[in-house]
Amino acid sequence: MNYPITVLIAEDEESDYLLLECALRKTNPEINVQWVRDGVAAIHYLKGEGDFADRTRHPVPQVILLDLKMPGATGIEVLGWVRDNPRYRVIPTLVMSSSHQPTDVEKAYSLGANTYFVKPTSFETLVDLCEKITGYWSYGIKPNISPL
Amino acid sequence: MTQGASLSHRLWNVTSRCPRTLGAKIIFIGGGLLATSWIRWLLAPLLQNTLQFFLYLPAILAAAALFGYRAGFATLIGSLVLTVSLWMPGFAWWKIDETEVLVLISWFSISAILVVGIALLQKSAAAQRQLILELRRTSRELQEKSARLEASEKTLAAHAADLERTVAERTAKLEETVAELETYSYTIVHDLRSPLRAMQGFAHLLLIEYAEKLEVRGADYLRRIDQGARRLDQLIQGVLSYSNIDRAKIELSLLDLDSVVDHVLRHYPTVYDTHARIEITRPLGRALAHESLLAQALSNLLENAVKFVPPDAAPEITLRSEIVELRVRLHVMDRGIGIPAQGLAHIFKPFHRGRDAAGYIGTGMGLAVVKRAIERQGGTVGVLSEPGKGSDFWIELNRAPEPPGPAAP
Repeated sequence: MNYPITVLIAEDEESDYLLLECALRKTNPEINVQWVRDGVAAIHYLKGEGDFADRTRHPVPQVILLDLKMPGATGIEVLGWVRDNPRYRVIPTLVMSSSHQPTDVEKAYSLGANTYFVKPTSFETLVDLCEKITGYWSYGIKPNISPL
Repeated sequence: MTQGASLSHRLWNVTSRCPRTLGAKIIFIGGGLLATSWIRWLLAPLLQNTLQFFLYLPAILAAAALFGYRAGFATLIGSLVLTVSLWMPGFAWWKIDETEVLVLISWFSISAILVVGIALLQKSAAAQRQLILELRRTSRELQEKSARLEASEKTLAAHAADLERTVAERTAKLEETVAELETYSYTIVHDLRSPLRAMQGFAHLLLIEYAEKLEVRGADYLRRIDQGARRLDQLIQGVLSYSNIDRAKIELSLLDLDSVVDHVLRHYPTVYDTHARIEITRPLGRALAHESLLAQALSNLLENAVKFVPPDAAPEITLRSEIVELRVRLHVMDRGIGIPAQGLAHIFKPFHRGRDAAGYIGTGMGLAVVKRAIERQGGTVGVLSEPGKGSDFWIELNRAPEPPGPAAP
């Protein structure tokens, strides 16, 4: 079930981003992937500031994928900002990390993460995970956020 | 100190310095008697017939004071003899008259009383002095002892303070090290796994997307990159789960072993994704354990049992438990390749891989994790094995007391 969905990925590691994007495109060729390299840029993107002011090129995402460990603002910090923002708090936000450190998992969920997942090492598993994520969210009803 | 004590003290001081040998006594007594006789002879024209005995009294008393009452009496008798023979010319023992007898007796009695008195005084002074000396020595000893005690107390206090400081320092250092280690292992996960993902991911993409441009050898190289990355990732995860066991907070609770085993069989892909035949002798009973650590240990044991079988053979696993006094022992038995006797001693050590494990994928951490996880739950692990026939790994945990059954009607 393919439809144009916008996913914002905040990931500082280019390789991880490329693999994730590739896996997402394999599962849904219509997907619009927006990439920012750190937490601060993610917040700028959501606010529509600076480079991200053009909402036709940088639409408000339907799903946010946050890497946990990033320079500037961490995934947890961005998650906190999103959940505190009355406009964007409704966007499904997923946290991805390299480890399942119990404290990180707890913090992410207590701040309102929709899912916490560990980045798989194998590409097949990553594709499988992306299929599950996009499949799940394509069935789920997404909140309608009007562009500012 | 009282006046009397001070007097006797002084007397003792004088008398204690005299030599006490018999010769010294005789010389002293004789000298005293002769000196007194000489003085009396010098004074004879003045004294006429008076003070015939009296001048000997100082010598008698001196002898008594210096050497005791026996020397005093000896001097007294000597003086009487000298008095009678020297200064009483008309005296003769055979025609002694009453006055003379009375005079002699009274002289003797008075002198004797004085001698005894002086001797007693001297003796008591000596005793007192001895006592004082004793007391002084004892008090000095006590002082020394208390000083020593104080010193050793001080040393002890210093040692205790030292020890406390050392313990505090070490504890702080240890905490620092633990925190460092935690950061370290966290960093390992994040920073080491990320390039691994890149290696694996892009090797995979190359294999898939450029398949037609790759020769067989090129594809093989890429597969080797992929496998190497995978192995390294498993190794990192193994080390991490091993170190995480030590950091995990352990809360033991009464667990039903059947449901823990079912959970592992259902949820651990390395176990359920196989065509292994698993036979369970139920009920397995209950044990005091920590659920996730026990599940981890069991899954590692089951994974091994599934893995270490001859090529193309289907794994056959038997699970059963037995009660050993206050413990329950859970056996995981397989019909795999088995372990040679010389390998058994090292099999639970981290990174150990048996010679026969060469053909099988693994990191050598699985059984080390099992051992550490079970030991943290107060249990023990063990193994019996025969090469070619199979292995019998067991874990032993404390058995929780059975809950009271329903009351009989």
